[in-house]
Amino acid sequence: MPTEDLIQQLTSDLQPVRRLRPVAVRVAAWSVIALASLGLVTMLSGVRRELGDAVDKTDFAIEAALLTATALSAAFGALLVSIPGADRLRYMRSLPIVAGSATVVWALGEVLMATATGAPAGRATFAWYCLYKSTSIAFIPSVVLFLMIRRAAPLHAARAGFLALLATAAVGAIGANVVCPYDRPLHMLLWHAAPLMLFAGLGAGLGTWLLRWPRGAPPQSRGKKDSQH
Amino acid sequence: MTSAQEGDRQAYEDLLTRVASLVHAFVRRRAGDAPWCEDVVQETLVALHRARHTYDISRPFAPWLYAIVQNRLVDALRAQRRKLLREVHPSLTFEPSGHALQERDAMRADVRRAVAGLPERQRQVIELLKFEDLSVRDVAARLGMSEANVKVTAHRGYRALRRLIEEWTRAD
Repeated sequence: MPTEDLIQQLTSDLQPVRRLRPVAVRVAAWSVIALASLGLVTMLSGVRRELGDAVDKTDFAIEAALLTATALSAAFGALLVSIPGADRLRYMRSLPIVAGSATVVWALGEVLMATATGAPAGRATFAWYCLYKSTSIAFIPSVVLFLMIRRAAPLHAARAGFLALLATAAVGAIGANVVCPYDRPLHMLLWHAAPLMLFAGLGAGLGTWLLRWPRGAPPQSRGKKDSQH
Repeated sequence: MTSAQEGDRQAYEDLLTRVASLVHAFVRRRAGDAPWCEDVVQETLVALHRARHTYDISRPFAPWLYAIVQNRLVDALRAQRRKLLREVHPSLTFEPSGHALQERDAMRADVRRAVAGLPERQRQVIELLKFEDLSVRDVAARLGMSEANVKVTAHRGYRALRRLIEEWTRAD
């Protein structure tokens, strides 16, 4: 088909579209959903008994701050990367990775510190409960974030998926910290911090599959669907 | 672009016409006189059409546009690379005999006749996949089907073709 004909076809197909809201607004909307999911699952599971004492500890506060920074910056990055040409700021690209890595490095540091000082570091036992709880918390925010990304134009599907699941895994880890009473360093590293990277990797794969763009029918057969934008 | 987002067709047509020439020049600079340059231009226009709701009026237009062009160009280059890798160098192929060529041509004609006898959708899918060498994704986009549906339709088409050709072979 000659390009002129295609232009005619696209023009005749034109419908007004609703612009995407600014990324900050969409991150705020997603944060509300993530908080609701976090609140709901922790309410149903019950928070750890000594949570009042735990929140006074510096370790808990630092972990919470790192996880919150990871969640927000990764969600921001995932939505930004789904808008063509918007992810040009290098620091915005690296911030979620830096925050996520800092969380893991912090947890690793705690293990090394405990080993060096002779404090109990805990045992490398299976703790499916923590993984199950953090996944339950992260599930709905993940679905919502993927839908938000799909509504845009994710040119880099794997990166968008990676950041999306990094964000939701961080929310899940915050929940695990609130629910799980076992806070020995090795347990925190293996079952609260390390899953961030595992889920982020999974997100890259899922992103390639679910967020590939462009997809679906070409404009000539979409009819009035454009008005949904 | 702002007018186009609000549904102004004249503004949109002007924009697409200008964008087409810009993209054409951009692709030419990077890909030379490759025969698929026009395809990249058209794919960019379609992608722009689909992504037009993502354009933020407070930001410059060029980075938004060139991110899409770059994406389409990289996809096209990857597709070309895959195609080149599939092709065998001519010096490595053997020259078939005249009889073999005749047989091959007859078989091709039979296959094309069999494909022509398939139901409309199956025929379209197989022609695009096998004769025009498009990917499943491109066929899905061209026919307005999901990729899964293209695969299922192609599978049914192949099964029908096999039955048809077996019947002909038995009849011969």
